Amino acid sequence: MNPYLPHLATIQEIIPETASQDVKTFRVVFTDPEIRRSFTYQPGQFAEVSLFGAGEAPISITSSPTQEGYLEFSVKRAGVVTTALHYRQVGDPVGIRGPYGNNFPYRDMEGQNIVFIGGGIGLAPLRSLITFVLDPANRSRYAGISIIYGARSPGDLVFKWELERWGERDDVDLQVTVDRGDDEWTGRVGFVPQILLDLAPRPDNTVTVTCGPPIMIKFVLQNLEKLGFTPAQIVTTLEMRMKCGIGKCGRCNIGSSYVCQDGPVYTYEQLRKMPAEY
Amino acid sequence: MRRGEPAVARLLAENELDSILARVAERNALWVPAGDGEQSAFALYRPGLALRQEAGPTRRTAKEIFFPRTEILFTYGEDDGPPRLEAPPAEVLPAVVYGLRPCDARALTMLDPVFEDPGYPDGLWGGRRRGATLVGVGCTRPSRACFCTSVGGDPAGEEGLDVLVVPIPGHYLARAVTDRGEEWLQALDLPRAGPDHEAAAVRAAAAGAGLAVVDTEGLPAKLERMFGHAVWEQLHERCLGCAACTYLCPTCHCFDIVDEGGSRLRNWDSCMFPLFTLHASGHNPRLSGKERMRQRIMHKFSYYPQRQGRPACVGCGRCVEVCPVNLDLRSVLAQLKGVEA
Repeated sequence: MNPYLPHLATIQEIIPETASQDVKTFRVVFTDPEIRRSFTYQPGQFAEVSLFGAGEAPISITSSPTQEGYLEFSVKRAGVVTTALHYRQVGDPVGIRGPYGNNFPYRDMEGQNIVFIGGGIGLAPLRSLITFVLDPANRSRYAGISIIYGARSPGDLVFKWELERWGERDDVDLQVTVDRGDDEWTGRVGFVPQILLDLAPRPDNTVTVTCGPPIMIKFVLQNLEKLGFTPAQIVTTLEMRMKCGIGKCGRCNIGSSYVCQDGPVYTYEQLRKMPAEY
Repeated sequence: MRRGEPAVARLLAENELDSILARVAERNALWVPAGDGEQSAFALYRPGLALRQEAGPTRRTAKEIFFPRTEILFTYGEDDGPPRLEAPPAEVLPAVVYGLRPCDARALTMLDPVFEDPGYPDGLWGGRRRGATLVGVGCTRPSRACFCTSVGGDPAGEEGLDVLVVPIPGHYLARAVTDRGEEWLQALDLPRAGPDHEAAAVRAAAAGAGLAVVDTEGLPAKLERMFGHAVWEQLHERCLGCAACTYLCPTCHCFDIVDEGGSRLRNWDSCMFPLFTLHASGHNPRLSGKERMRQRIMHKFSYYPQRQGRPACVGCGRCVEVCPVNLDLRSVLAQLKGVEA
């Protein structure tokens, strides 16, 4: 068995997300119809995305398993592989192997309120779970759904078409904020951790899921504790440099925990017991 | 081999070793220790190749036979057309490794759970491992940096071997450890050893036990409390971050994956390099030598034991021999063991 061999896939659609186009969403479809059917994943998992000649990078799957037939990856242009990906066109080949890692504990969340707290491109992994719990087949299993999402500026907000759809729903409380507004922005202005404090969700029967830049997560964690959330009620997903994705290449560990296999999803309760090396 | 039934010891005359190895090499790829000092490594046998006679392990490890410094994971084609993915066949590759030290064989058993994890078995490693017969030669004299007995090893240890060979005056005494080893020995049709030979082998093996002693008792449990300890601040100060220790360590397995010339390659990598953990965003969780040195030590003596139940160090002493600033792992361990925590 060669676990490093990816499946071939084709880029079916490219959606520019941010005004500067430094984030794009790539919808990809496996070449082999059999893989298209058999490839299953859970919200929170990631895949290694290959650009042959450039390499591969671990990217969270932003689509939801309830959306069949394709996978979506929202990618910020940052390094060698993500830059190469940003130059690709519809119809170009990519390689996909995975899915890897654990997943959001969506079974344990049943019956509870969920507060999603995202910043910037950090909404990408959360979107998989948001789409999953909002799916008609699953929505009744969960109580209230709130989404607090922020970016540096209106142009940096990702998934604007999703935000619109989520905002229109009666069963979703969506709060969007930006650090700095512009002439056209009429929404909230303020940092995500502060908006969280202002909105003050109640901790009873509630679980929070957060992802964003490290500085945002740091203050979100502090503020959630101020609001009375216990570390077990706070779920996050980590980013780490990875190569193999399958626990062998030795670079993504935090203490004895391998983010590629034991993560990327951790509760704050778990994280607090791990060395602060991430 | 049936349990409780001691394997028959056989005798291999010193002056017949070369002709026996030549016979083995006719049937299988045969790896033997060759070269001296810093140049010593495993090489494919050819008639007349002088086997290394020095004490202790070869400078380069037997790990390289199973996990080469660089290898092709698959090819994707060099032209601009659609990628054509072709992987090397994951097949069992028959080979014999003669003359590896018990520490090197033991190290392979520490890498097996990493590469042979049932969730994602690595066929490249697995194919080579399953095809290989390991014929170890016990140590009758330690090298100056050896400390295998301090980390659960033994100069005449059998773990990971199919056959253990112990040098005695004029001969080698060979005993199978596994069924595979027994078959291999039977095929050679060697004479049985007598009681005098066996006694000589016991004496020879015991002679190898005069090794440096490092007290690592309880260290893994203690290290679990020491991530934030001040001792790391000064432990790493002399380290240049050259990574020679990790490249020559028989239990280090970190690798990089890169695309080059139409192939996706796996190359050895090292946690001692700053780029190892550098994110594309610029963030680096192991920013300085302190974090990187801590990772190397903690991985071997705390993180790996937490997952696999024992430290990932076999006491071969290569890291001690090769360090350009004489940063001796044995004294690092003694310091960690000694400080209050």
